[in-house]
Order: sequence, then C-alpha cells, then structure tokens
Amino acid sequence: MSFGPRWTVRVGAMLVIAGPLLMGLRWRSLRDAGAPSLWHVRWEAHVSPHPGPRLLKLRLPSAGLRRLELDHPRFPGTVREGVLELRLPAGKGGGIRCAFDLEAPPEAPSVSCEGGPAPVVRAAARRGAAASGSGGVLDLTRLPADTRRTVGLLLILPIGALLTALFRNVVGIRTFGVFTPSLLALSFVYGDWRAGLVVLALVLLAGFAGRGVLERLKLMVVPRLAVVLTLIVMCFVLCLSVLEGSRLSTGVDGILLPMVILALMVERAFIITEEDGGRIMLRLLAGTLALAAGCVPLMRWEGLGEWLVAFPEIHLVTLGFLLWIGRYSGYRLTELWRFHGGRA
Amino acid sequence: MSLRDWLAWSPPAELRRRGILGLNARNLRYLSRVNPRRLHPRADDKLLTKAVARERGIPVPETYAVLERQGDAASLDGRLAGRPEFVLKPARGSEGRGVVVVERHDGRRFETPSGEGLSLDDLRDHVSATLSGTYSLSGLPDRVIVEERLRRHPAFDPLVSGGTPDVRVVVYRGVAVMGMVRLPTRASRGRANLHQGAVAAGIDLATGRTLGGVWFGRPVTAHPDTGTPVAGHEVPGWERALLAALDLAEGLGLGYVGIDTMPDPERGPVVLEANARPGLAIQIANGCGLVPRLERVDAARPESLKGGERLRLSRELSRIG
Repeated sequence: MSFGPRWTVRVGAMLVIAGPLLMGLRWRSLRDAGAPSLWHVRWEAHVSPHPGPRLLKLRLPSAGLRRLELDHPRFPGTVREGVLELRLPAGKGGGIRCAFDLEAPPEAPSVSCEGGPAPVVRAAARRGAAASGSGGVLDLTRLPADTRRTVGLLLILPIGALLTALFRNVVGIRTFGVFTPSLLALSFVYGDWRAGLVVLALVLLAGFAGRGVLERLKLMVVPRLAVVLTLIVMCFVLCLSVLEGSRLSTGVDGILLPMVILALMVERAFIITEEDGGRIMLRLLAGTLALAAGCVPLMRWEGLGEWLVAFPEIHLVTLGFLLWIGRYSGYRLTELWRFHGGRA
Repeated sequence: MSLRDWLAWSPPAELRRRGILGLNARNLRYLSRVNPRRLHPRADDKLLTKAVARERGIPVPETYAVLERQGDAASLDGRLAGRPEFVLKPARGSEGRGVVVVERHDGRRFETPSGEGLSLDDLRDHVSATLSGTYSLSGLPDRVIVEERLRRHPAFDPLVSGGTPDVRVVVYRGVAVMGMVRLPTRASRGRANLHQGAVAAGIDLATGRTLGGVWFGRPVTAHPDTGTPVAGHEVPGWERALLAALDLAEGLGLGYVGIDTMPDPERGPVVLEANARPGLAIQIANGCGLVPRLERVDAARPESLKGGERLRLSRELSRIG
C-alpha cells in the first residue's frame, strides 16, 4: 500500500502548519500563566598555582535561584549559607564552575580568594524561553541544565538530517555516508572548532596512511576496520594531549569526533581512491566537508537549541519539510550542469 | 575545454523541454513503481542474473568456479589449472569495482591486460578481501565468480586502444528505450565504466549505428586515445543484443533495467550483468532525454504487446527526441 504523491505533500503541509500553531498556543498559555522567563547563568572562577594554601569563595545570588549545579573537578568544595567554598592545597591551582537558573537578571559574580592572588572569573548569562510553572512531560525546560544541553543537541540532530536531505536530493552533491557530515558537525559543537579541524585533518591523514600500510598486510574486513579505528583513536588522544600541553587552544576536551564513523569513512575513501581514482574521492570528501561546514553554525547556535528544548513541536515542521523533500521529483541543482548541452 | 564550458548550465525548463530524466524522477516515478524490491537481488547478484539468462538460453560467460569460503582462496591454483585466461568478479560488486582480468599466467605469475603482474598470493588476497565484502554493494560478505574472459569483438578494433567495449540497453516495461556503447580508454584503465573515464556513444535503436559520444560528462566527437570518430559505427550483432536484452529483462521481472552485453563473433551477445538502477548519463551520450520515450511506452500499454511488436516499438522510439 502506498500513498499518492499529492497525499504526502498535503500531510507535509499539515505538519508544517501544525508545528508553529502548536507552538503559538503553548507560548500563549505560558504567557497568560505569567511564567517568568529564566536566565541561564554560568560562572567559572579559576586561580593559578600559588605557594600557599587558599580558600576560594564565590557568593551565589540569594533570590530566585533554581537548579544549581556545581563542578569542581579536582578539589572538594562545599556550599555554606549561599557561599561556594573551595580549598586549594599549597602549590596547586584550580577552580569552580557552577551553572544555575535565575528568575531575575544576574548580578556580577562576587568572588574572593583568601591567601592568594585574585581569581580569574568568567561569567556568562543567557535569557532562556519562558518556563512553565508546572512541568508536563512535554516541558523539557524543567530538566537540569546539563541534561538540557544534551537534549538541545539531540533535538538539533534532525535539523542536520534535514540539511543532509536537502543537500543530497535537492542540490545533488554526494557525500561519504549519509549522516557522516552531520555527525562530524556535531563533534564541533563544543570546544574550539579550529583546533577540531586540525585534529580531524590529522586523524584522517593518520587513518588513511595506516590503511595504506594495512593494504600490504592483507587483513580481512573487520579486523582491518578495527585496526584503523584503533589508529584513529590513538592519534586523536595524542592530538588532545599535545594541544592540552601546549596551551595553544582551550576547550579541547569538547572535541569528540565520531570515531567509528571516521574509521568507516577512511575505509570507503581508500577503496574509492584505489578503484575510481583520487579525483572522485576528493570530490566526495569536499562534499562531505561542505555539508559538515553548513551544519556547524546551526549546531553551535545555542539559541536554536534552547528554542527546540522549549518547543520540541517545531520538529513537526522538520517532518513536513522532509516529506516534501522525499517527494521532490524535480531536477537536482547539479543536474542543471550535468545535463547541459549534451550532443544536441 | 574552457572554464566557461564547465560552468555552462541549463535552466530546469530547458531540461524539461529536452525530456531529460533526473535522478529524483527516475527513483520516484519509475524505479519505485516498476522494480519491486524483492526482485532487486536478481540484478544485484551476478550469479542469479546468470541463472536467469541460462534458463532462457541467453549466452553468458562460462563460469569456471564460484568461491564462497575463505578456504576456497587457498585452493585457488587448483581451480585455475587449465584456464589460460580468466576474470575474477565479486558476485555483488558494483561499477566494476574489484574485477581482476588475467590475460595469461604460468601458475605463479598472473598478467593483466594492462601489463601488471600479480603473484598467486596477490590473487588469493584479492579473493579473500572480496569474500569478506570489500567490494560488495552493502559491505556484506560476498562470493567470487571465476569466469571466462571475453575478447573484444574485432569490429571495435579501430575504435579503442585497449579494453573491451560493452553494449548497454535500457529496457522499460519490456521495450528497449535507449542504448549506448561504452568504450574503455587509457584514463579508465581499460574499464567500461563512465565515471572511471570510459567514453559512451549513443546508439540509434533502429539502425544500430553509434551516435556521438560523451567523456567525463561532456560531449566528444572522437575517441580520446585513437582519435577515431565515435559516431557512425555499426554495433556488431545489434539486433540480437536488443532481443537478448528484452528477453533477459522479461526473465528478471524488472520493469526498468539496464542490460550489459558484449558482442561475441560466434555466440552473439553475451550478457555480462543487469543493473536495476541504470545511470542517466546515457541521455547525454544519445543527445536526448528519456522522458518522451518512457511516456510513449506507457501510452502503448506494452504488457499487451507481443515480442515482435515490442521490438518494432523499440525501433520507433529512435525517432523520438
């Protein structure tokens, strides 16, 4: 059984209309309920190593504080009467990170360090969507801040898939694997993308070179893939270690490349180079990177993630667009060049 | 060719006017309608295609051996004994990947037509890699076919410098709608695959004569290696190739299929493989679009036509586009 093309297009249109409609209704009911919009705040205080022991103190806002999350990676900290305290032993540096939601705009953080130089403080605050007072399952804003970040990232993935469908079926550019580009883009969301790009290039080169050597060893497919995966992981970890040590870049810990996908990509790239030549392989690689580059700004756009967390029903629109693309039987953009001229 | 030529494009209305079939339309309007997925394996798996062809008495390359297990790679030399030349082919390979042609050998050194020498170990490794799925469509374990090597038909000698040209006929609902000869070049390393650099020449369905050609997606008039004009050559055994294609398409049960054959001076067209998703570059090689021909076939209700009438309709189509 199959639905005719017209039917599919109509269902798509219904979804595209239904998404914003539902969102509008919820938005209104939230506004009418007088729900305040929350501020998402992140503070980071850090002190460098010092000969003596120190006590780092960070005063938290007293009114309207919600969902406090602490992260003090190396040393134990405590919260006492609205003050976050961290004891640093002699000779060590360290810091506290905390994330919380506030009902009012945050003030500048008040921080002190007893027994040492003043700490470096980074503060970031962002206004989120309105929070509903009573949370249903559909209300994702009630989730803890870190979970919300993950959920936001997951919710952006379908948009990457939409972009992929558009790129392949409407523009007509081929890539390595269907979702490789969006997964690559996803790995650039956290951390420094320039460092990420360098690491990606090195990892791919190492994988490709390793695959070339493996060709002589004549292994069967699965062990061979596993060797490439191991090489890629080791190269990646080494890169992280080097970058961390050299202090060239911050936030390297955020780069988490999809290793398994990369191993498969190296394998396919190698076979295509051997059988069809480097030209075709490079064309596929360029397509893959172009699409990934297109997905990166989308995925790094935190506002979009927040919106999707607040209104996941936006994805009805995504589904509608996907139905339309799935039924698009017109020419792909690249075919306008491909079929130009001919022997007419 | 200048940059301007490479950048030249046609607006969609122009392509529609020429009746060009795009990939999306091929998949949505034709493949999904007339190629049931359960029948795809018959085209994807060359052993199944061969079985169907043999049932109908259509010549196929003689199968020397089918290698299925890793252990078979070890006994390879025994199976090749008494075969001076042969081809190794993945059963479920695509676009010619993983095919090795051996022109002569002494049991230790195996020579390919391009002059490359392989050891028995190299061949064993290749078989082993193919069995574990290196070249198969889905990356799943595959089988290796050891089969007869077909020689180039002498009629093609003046046209190409090396390799063996093959003839592709696209059959839609039992009617041949378009054909082309694929001519290997030095750039394609003797292979008859367009994206690897073979030249495609369209065929006039009524006369079996070649039309102009296309190379790397752009029109050419002469073969890049030999300089011989591509147009105006008689395709040897054209009529029989057409009949074999119609016959095999019926046997496969696929409504939109590309049938590749190689002309043989004694046996006539020998079927190499069938493709359930034939490419669209054939339109550039023929200088016309597929859509008007496909629509003409749809209008004729071809399922009610007899063999002779289908052949006549196929010939008529050469006047469309």
